[in-house]
Amino acid sequence: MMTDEEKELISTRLGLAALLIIMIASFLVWELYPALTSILSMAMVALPRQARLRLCMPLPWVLAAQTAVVTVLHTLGILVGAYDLVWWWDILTHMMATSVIAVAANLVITVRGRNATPRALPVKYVPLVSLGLVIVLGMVWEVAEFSADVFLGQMTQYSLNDTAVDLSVDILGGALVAVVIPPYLERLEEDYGICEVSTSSAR
Amino acid sequence: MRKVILNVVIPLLFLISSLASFIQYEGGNIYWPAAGLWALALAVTTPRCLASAPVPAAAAGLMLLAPHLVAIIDVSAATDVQFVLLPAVTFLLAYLTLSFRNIGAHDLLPALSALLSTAFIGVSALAFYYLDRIAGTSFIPTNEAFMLHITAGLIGAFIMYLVFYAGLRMGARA
Repeated sequence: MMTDEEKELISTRLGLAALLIIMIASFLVWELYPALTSILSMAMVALPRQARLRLCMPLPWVLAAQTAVVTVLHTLGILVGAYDLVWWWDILTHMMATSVIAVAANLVITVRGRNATPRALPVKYVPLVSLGLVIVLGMVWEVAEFSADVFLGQMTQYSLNDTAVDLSVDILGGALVAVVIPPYLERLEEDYGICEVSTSSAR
Repeated sequence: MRKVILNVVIPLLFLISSLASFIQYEGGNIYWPAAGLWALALAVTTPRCLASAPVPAAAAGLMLLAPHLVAIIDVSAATDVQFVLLPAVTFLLAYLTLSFRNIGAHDLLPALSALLSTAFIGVSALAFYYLDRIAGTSFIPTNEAFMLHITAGLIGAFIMYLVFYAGLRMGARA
């Protein structure tokens, strides 16, 4: 029976391998945008594992798997033009990405909220705060796309409808997580996100 | 006298300025009345709480009146004032809303206020977009207009967050 950590490690490695293949393919056809995106995506796929090891915040292994899947879909979509060919590709990747970010946001805000002063942030507010963060991050993403279009001559925002639908799907993904996550947050251990100081480093 | 100012003048100023926000100028900011609606909700439901936060409440009230004060001199400048002040107004409204909820995490208030105000701006932009789709209006005619509002909201909220965060740190040191 595999542990969650083993499943996370396998998901991470499979995701990195797939992104590596996409990166190589991108360079072979000299498409630099998907190549660069695959490199950034590798960093994102590695984040859940790093959160477990360095921040003492083990995330659900499904999150690592979903991060790998959505980054592969996104990068592959750019390379093969799926965003232009398949009308729901953008919606799918937005929804998956924001749900991953929303879960991570909930956990990070829970940990930060526990250390707030003068009193800890009540857990019941965490999903709402996370939803707000997801909305803001969605806005930041759209501003980044708009900036790429204006300053780099890209074509990442096709229309007002495309932008509005992307933002709407972001909110939907964040809202769905906000609805289902509270029981998970209530069951988080008290020392979640708190790393023990090793005695050797204390000296 | 101080009690009169806190308990009467500030909530009254807030109420009047929130109602005044519904007075629109030609080419005026469509999100300004939405912020005014938020302020009106606070003025009606939590007038005593406004007295407990006199500085941000008075600041928000004066900002909501600012376009009308500017319009006395130059009507065309009123819309520019609305555009510039909207993120600041929404940040202050978010700050007041959250501080009245007594969430306890005072050190997180500036960040939470920035989040709430930015989310309000994003959601209000979407609301007007869907209103256009359903009712055939043209509040948001282009993607550029949509993105300009969102970009301004993000930048303004970030600036307000820095100001309040700096104030919080200075207050902690004192």
